[in-house]
Amino acid sequence: MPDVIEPDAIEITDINHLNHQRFENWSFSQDFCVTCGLCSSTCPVSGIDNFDPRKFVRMISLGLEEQLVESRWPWICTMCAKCEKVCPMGIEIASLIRGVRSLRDREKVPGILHKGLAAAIKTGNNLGLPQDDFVFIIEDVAEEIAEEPGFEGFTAPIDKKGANLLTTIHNKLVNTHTEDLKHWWRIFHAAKEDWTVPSENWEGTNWGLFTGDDKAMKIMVGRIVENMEKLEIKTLLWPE
Amino acid sequence: MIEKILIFGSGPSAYHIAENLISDGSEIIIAAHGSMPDIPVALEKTEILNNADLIACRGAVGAFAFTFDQNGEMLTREAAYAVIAEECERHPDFDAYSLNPGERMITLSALKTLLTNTNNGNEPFLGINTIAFLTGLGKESNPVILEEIMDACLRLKSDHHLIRCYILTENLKVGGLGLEFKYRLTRKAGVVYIKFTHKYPEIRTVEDGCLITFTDEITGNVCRLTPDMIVVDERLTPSPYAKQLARVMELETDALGFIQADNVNRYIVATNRKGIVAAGPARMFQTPADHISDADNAALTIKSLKTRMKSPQPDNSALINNRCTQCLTCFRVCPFHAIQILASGKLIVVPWACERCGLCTAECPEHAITLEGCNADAVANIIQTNAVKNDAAFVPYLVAFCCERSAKQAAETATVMNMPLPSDLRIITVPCAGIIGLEYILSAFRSQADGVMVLTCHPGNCHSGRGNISAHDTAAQAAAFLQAIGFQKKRLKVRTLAANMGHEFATIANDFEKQISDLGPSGLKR
Amino acid sequence: MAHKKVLIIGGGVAGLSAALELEQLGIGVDLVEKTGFLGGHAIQYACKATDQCVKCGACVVEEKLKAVSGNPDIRVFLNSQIINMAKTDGRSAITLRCQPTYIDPHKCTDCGQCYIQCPGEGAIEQGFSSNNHPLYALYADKCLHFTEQNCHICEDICPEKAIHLNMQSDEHIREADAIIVAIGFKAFDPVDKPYGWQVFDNVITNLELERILRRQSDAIRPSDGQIARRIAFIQCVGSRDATLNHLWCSKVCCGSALRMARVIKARHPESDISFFYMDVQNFGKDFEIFYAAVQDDVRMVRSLPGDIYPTSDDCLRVICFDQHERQSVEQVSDLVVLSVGIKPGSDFGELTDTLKLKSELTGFFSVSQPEQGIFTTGAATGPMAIDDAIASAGQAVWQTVQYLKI
Repeated sequence: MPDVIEPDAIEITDINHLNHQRFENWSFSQDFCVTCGLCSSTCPVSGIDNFDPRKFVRMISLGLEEQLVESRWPWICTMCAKCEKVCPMGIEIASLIRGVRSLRDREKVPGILHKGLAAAIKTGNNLGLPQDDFVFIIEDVAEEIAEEPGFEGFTAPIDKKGANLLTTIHNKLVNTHTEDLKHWWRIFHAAKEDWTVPSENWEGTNWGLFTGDDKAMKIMVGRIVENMEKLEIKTLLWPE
Repeated sequence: MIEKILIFGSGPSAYHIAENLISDGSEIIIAAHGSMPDIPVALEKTEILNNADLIACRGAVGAFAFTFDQNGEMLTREAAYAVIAEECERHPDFDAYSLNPGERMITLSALKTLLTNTNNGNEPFLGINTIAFLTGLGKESNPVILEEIMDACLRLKSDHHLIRCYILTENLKVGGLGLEFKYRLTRKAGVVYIKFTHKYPEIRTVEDGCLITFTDEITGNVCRLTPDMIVVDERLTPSPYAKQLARVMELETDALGFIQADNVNRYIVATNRKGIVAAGPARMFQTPADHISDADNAALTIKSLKTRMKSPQPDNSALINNRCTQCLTCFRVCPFHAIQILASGKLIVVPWACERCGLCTAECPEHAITLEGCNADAVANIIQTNAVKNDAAFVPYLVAFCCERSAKQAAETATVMNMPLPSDLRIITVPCAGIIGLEYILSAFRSQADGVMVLTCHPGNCHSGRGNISAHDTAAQAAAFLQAIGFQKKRLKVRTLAANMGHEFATIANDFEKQISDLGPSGLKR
Repeated sequence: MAHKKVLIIGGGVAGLSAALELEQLGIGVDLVEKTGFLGGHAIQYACKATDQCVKCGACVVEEKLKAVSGNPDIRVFLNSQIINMAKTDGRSAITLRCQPTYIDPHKCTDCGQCYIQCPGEGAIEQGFSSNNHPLYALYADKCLHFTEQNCHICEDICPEKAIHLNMQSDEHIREADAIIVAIGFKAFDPVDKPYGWQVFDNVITNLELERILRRQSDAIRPSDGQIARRIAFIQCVGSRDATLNHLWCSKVCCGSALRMARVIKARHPESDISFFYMDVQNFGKDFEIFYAAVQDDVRMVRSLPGDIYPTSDDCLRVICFDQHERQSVEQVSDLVVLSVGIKPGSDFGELTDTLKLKSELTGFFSVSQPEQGIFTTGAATGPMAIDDAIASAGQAVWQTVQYLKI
C-alpha cells in the first residue's frame, strides 16, 4: 500500500540533496550495511529515546550529519560494541558513534562528561582533586588495611621509582568507593607485587574516548606514559 | 529415417542450441517467427525459415511433421525432435506504479539502450543528476532484473560520476551467483538502496518531474526524492508466439504461460511430449548463464534420446487391440501424445512416446487397451488369493493401490525402516494412479478387502500430469457409488504421498487399520 | 567409438544426475562417494507438499538414487576419497582410498539389528532412503571395536553374517577419460553465532529440521520429543556475511524454510510460526503465488534476532528489534531453526590441490576447466537448489561429451 504522507505535517528529509559521501573518509564499512537488524536486536539500549544502532548506521550512510550530531542518540550508546561483534558486514558501529560524538561542539557535550574531561585536562583527574587530598586518601586507606590481620605494616607506595607495576586509579575509587581500592591492594600484598601509584595524573578513566575528543584522549594517555618514564616503570595496570 | 532437429526461435538461446546441435553433427532447421538476424557462419548450411508461423504439429518422437504458414504459403518440415527456444517478452510495470512512460520515465530496457548509445558520442544523460529505479514494489522482482539494475548503476557511476542512483525495492533479490558481491560494489560506488516492507513510496508526477515521498523504514524519517529520471522494472513473460506454440503442439504450460508445466518430473527441459524440449526463456525467465545451461541440457536431452532410439523399441508400452472402436478417447487422454491415428483410421501407441501411465487403459470404454502388468482382473485375483481366512479375532484385510513412483517408494521406506505397519496390508503397485479405474476399487472390495486405500502423488507432482487427479475423481465416484448401495464409504480412503514420505505412509496405514478395525469386517466379505 | 569412462566425485544430487546422464549415453561411470551413503544432503530432505506439491524437488533425488542404485553400469565406491591423479595421453589414473564398508551389501538384508543393538553412539548410522543399500553404514572412528578394541556385537548378532569388522581399507587405481567434480556443499557451523546452537537443545539448523520432518513428519523438539507449536526461523545465519568472507546469499534457505513452515502449518494449523529475515529470495516457478500465500500462514519479521535465552521449560526467548515498535521485543518459541549458509564442500581444499582446480574468490569452484578434462558442477560451484543442481549436472555432462568428442 502506498505510504500516504501529509507533507505539511512533518519535517521532510530531502535525500536528493544530502551528501551521501559526507562520511566517505570514515572507513568503518558503514556503506555495506544490509539492514539485517542484528545490531539493533542485540543492542542493550535499543529503543531508548528512539535510538537504535541500525538507524544510526543508515543515517551516517545517507549523510544526515546534522540530525545525528544534534541528537541525544550518540550519547545513549554505552560503547559496549556488542553490535560490532554481531554485525555480519563488519561495520565498526561503536567507532562510528564515537566519531559522531567528536563532531559535537565541545560546549554541548553532555555536562558530566564535558566537565569531568575539562577538569582532568586541567588538574590531572576528573574530580579536580588536589594532590595533597589524594595522597591523604591513599594513606588513610592504606592505614585501614594495615589494621587488618595479615596486613600488618601495609603501606601504599606512592611515586616509587623502579617499581614493577604502575597502576592508575578510577576517580570513583578515591571519592565514593574507597572500599574498592582495598581489593586491589590486598591482592598486591598477597602476591608480593612491587607496585606504585603516581601522585599526579593518576586518573584511570579517559573521557576523551567517550566524548570522541581525540586530542584530550591523547593528552591523558601521554600523561600516563610520562609517569612511567619518570618512575622508570615498564608495566602498566590500567584497570578501567 | 528422419534425423533433423527443428529449433523454434531466433534469439541468443536459439543460436546457442543450434551451435550445440551442429557441433554434435546434427542437421537442423531453424524456424524463426520473425526473421533471423545476422546468421553466424556456423549456421550457413542450415535451413532457416523466416516468418514461419506454426499452425500444425503431427507425429511423435522420431517423426514429427510441423506445418507453417509462411507469408500465406503452407510449408511442412519433418523432424525427429524439436527444441523451443523462443525469447521472452518484457512488460514495463508503469501501471503498477501509476506512472506514464515518457522521456524521463523509462523502462529498464530503454535505459540499457541509452547506456549502449553513450558509446557513440551521444549524451543521453545531459541534465540528469538523479535516477530512481523502481523494482519489485507490489509485485516481486527477481535476481535477473536486479542484476541488470545493478549493472546499469555501476555503468552510470563509472561513466557519469555525478549521477546519483537510488534503488527502491521490497526484497533485494541477491539470490544468484555473484549478486551479493555486486551489491557491495554498487554500495561502494555510492548507490543508495531504499527497502520497503509493507508501505510503498507515494509517487506523484509534478510539473517538472516526479516527486517520491516515503517513510524510510530504518530511520523513520519522512523523505522526499525528486529524481530527474525514473527507471521502471519489467516483468518477463512468454511471448504470444510461445503461447501459440504451446497451443498448437498441445504442450503443458505453467501458471505464467511458459512452456513446461511446473512439475518436478519435467526437470530440466522436458515437456509432456517426448522429443520436444523447451529451453531457456521459453520455459522460464532466467539469467544469461542459465540460458546457456539450458541450451546444453537441451542438446544433451536430444543426444540421449537419439542414443536410446537406436536400441530396440520398448515392448512394454500400452497396446491397442482389435476391440478398438476408434472412439479416440485414448487419443484425447494420453498426456504424452503417444497415440497416433494412422491414415487407415487405426489407432496405435508409439512405444517410444508411451510413459506407461495407463490413463488410456482406465478411460477406454471398450477395454481395448492393455498395459503389461496392469490388469484389473489379475489384480482382483491377487487380492482374493491373499485374503487370509481367520476365524479368530478380526484383523482387517487392507488393500493399498500405490503409485509406483510415490506411495510405493514410501511404503518401501516404511518397511525397510522397520516402522510398524498393519499386519494384513496388501500393496498393489500401479505405474500411475491414473490406471486405477472403478473396477480396481470395486473388485478389491469384492475380493475380501475390508478397506481400500488409493495412494497417489500430490497434485502438481504426477509424472503423467493428471493421473493422480483422475484417481481422485474415480475414488470420489466409487465412494458415491458405495454410499448409494448402503456400503460404508469410510472403507475407501484416498491420500497423497511422495516417495520420501515413509513415516507418513506408516501413519496413514495404521490410522486406516484402526478405523477399519472399529468398523468391523466388510459386508461384502464372503 | 571407443568405450569412454568418466569418474564422478560426489554422490549427491549433482553426481547422481551426471552419472545417469552419462550412463544413458553408454559412457562408463565410476561414482566416488566420501560417506557411506549415496544421495548427499538432498536425500535427507523432507517432502514439503501441503495439499499440493510445492516443487522442492526432494522426491526427485529419491528417484535418481533409485535409478543409480539399480544400475549395473554405474560403479559406486562408498567411503572413498581421491588421493592422487596422474595424467597420461589424455587419460587420468585416479587413486582412490576406500575405507572399508564393513557391511557386505550382497548379504545384508537391511534388517537393522546391528543399528538397534550397537552400543556405540553414532557408530552405525541409518540412511534416509530405502534406495540406500545397505541402509546402514559403520564408521570406525566411533565404533567401540576400533576405539576400545573390545566390541563385536554387530558381527555376532547379524543374522546374515554380513558384517566383517576385520575388513581392511583398500586403494584402487581407476582410469578415466574425464572427471566430474560434484562434491556439493558444506553447511555453515553456527556455533559462533549468538543463537546458542549446541548449547540449547531446541535450537537446530534448517538441515536438522529437514531430517526431523523426513523421519518423523512433525517438528519434534529434541529436548522432549514433543511437537513444537511455536517455531522461529532465523535466516541468513552464515550467509551474506563479510566477516566470514561469505559474500553470497545462499539462495535456497528462504525456499527451504518457508516451505517447511507451510507444511508444518498445514499439518498443525494451530502452529505459530515466525520467519526472521532481511530479504526474501525467489524460489520455484510459482514464487509469487507461494509468497502471497505464505504471508497468511507465517509471521514475517524483517529483522534478525540478536540474542536467544533459555526459559526454565526448555523454551527459548528470542530477542528481536521490532521495526514498528522501534524497540527490542521478545517472543518465546518452542523451537528455533537457524537457516545456515552454504559453503564449499569440505574436500574443497584437498581436491583443489590433487586435481589442480581453479576456484573463485568466493571459495567455490570455477565452473569448468574443459582443457583439463575436469568439470565442476552442482553446489560446489555456488549455492543452488535441487533443480539447479540437476541442470548444472546436465551442463557438465554436455561439456564432458563435447570434450570426449562422443
